[in-house]
Amino acid sequence: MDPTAENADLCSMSIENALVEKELTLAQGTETDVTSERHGHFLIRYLYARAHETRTGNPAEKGQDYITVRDNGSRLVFAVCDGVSGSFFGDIAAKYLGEHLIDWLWDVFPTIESEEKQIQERLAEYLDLLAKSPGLSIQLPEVPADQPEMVKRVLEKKRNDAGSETTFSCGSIYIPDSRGAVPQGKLFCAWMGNTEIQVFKLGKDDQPEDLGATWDDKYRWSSKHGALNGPPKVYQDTSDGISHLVIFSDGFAPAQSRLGKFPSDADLRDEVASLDASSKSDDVSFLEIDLRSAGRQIPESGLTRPVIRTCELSGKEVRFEWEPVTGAIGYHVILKKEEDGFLTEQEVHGESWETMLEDAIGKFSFRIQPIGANGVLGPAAKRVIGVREHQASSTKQVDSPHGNKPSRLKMILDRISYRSRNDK
Amino acid sequence: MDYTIEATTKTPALLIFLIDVSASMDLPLGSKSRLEAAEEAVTATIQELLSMCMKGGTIKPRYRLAMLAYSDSVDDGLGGIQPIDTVVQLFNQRGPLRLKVGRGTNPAAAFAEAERLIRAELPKIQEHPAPVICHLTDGKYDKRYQDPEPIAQEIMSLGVQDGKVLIENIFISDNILAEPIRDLKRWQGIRPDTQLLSDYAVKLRNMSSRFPESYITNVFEKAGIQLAPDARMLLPGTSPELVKLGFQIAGHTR
Repeated sequence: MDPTAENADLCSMSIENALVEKELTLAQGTETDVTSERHGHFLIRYLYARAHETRTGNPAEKGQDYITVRDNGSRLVFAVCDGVSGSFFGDIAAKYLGEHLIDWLWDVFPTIESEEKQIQERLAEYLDLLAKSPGLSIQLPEVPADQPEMVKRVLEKKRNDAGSETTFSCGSIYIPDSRGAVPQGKLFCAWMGNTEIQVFKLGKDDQPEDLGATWDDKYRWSSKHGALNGPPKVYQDTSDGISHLVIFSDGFAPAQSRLGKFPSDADLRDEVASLDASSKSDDVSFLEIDLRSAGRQIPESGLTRPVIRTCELSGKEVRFEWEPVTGAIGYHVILKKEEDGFLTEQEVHGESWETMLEDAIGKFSFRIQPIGANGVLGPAAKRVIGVREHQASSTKQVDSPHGNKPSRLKMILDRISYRSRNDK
Repeated sequence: MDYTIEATTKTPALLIFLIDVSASMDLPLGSKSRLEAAEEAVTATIQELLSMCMKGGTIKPRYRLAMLAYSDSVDDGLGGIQPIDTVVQLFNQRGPLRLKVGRGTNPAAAFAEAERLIRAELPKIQEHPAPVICHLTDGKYDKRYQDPEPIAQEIMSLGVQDGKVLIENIFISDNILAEPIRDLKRWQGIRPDTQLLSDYAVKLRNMSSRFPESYITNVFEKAGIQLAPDARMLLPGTSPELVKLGFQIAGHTR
């Protein structure tokens, strides 16, 4: 294997074992400019803007949309919710439901049998359970006593009749893992209302797939009644043929119909400005999840390939050192055992990394990529090492600073497994 | 399609209520007086408009209102055109709406004042929803006063990009339709060729706009009512419920 190979496919990983979990949530009370982030295999791009009348009224006023994403680099769940402004504080329902959908998708969904109908039933049950629980009603404000009588009557009527309502679209994506439980990966989507999901496949990414959806906001979740006008709709597929997903609230729909695939950031900004200027200005949410570059870095990072300077073993500890890369805020390192795909993966700061090795002999690859300030990964450097049983010893090995040649290490390797959670 | 511009904070819709408060409005309509039915209908409509304006706990001023009560003369109940949040404050200060019964019936004066208000607004509201006048009356104008029909026709020739000014009339009378409405969901409305029993009903029909297609789709069809495409914005106010419906229809601008 060429030790300098850039785009070695490391997708086939044991995905749950060593990955950092991240959660992204956009604040409802402020605008979020177009932002791209690399989260492991996923490149996500998002934006949020409140309706013109919200922004120019009380600047502290929250919009009604809510976007949240959680991932561990190889598995990602998302929810985009749009509170119904005619209901009682729809913005609170949007946040509440979004948070709970993420939890359900992360913790409960993987345990459900894969048949669509069963998933639909379980999700519908969960939505009704949320309506029955006091969790949201506790968060809803009281009708202010100092408001005019007519306002109080209107708010009470909203609270008593409709409760707090929101539409939603959510989903779960597993990256293909040939050695894991989902060899072809998995895509699951669920929705109620007119927050639209578009799924694009590789080779056909000009036209979204037909999800059999009717994007109508008469379908929604209510804090008083649960799922309204029918159960949530669901869609499933493998993810190995997926190019990207786009999820957007109805405020963004006029723009989405004008934009082509993968619009530039500038085009997105122009559309948001145009929507803001229109008389029908509504809250705008946009989330794009790009799977095309799964396992490969995005070029144009401006970062150079790291030069691995040292690879040494001291007892059971293996240590790598490399030259610093200008512009890198950290490094993404992976140590993989070639035979069974087992790996350990970490983001590190500084120019060295060490880890403990236990009993196992075999061929291992060490791969390192610099991380740019915008989360984009730079080109990879790789070192392949092999250990035969009779060679196992505690001999120290040092490589030349300029070499990326395979080196012989005397080490004993074993499975390494760790999980860390990146709390934000 | 006309009459599709939404009422927003940027493009608020204008509604003008013209309410007959002549002496006959003190007569009964169902279990209450005609005037009480009108008061309740106006209040309910403002409350419904307010509901469409509430986002969280904040009022978004998507509607502007004027209320002209008339008998022999015109009483401007709100002091001109007011945004809905101001109307709510006025109601809060004054208490429930109480209209004062007058004597004669002079709708021409009310329509003339409505025309004056609209003409003053037109340059500023060209990109807003078309203004709507909702007129409630229970009888013909007094002979000593001007015929309101030419003024109404003049008003209906005014317009904005969204369409011409709309006039809706609610006529409290048992003497309108040859056949009473037995099932509202099957009723097709008062059409150009619908037989009407009184000359004033005919005149009011001439003073009424045609229901826009967007109203038929967004209001009536959603309520399960199959209104004919050529139905006029003239409603028989034969019950407090129909009076209320008439006012609420006027508020469903899109």
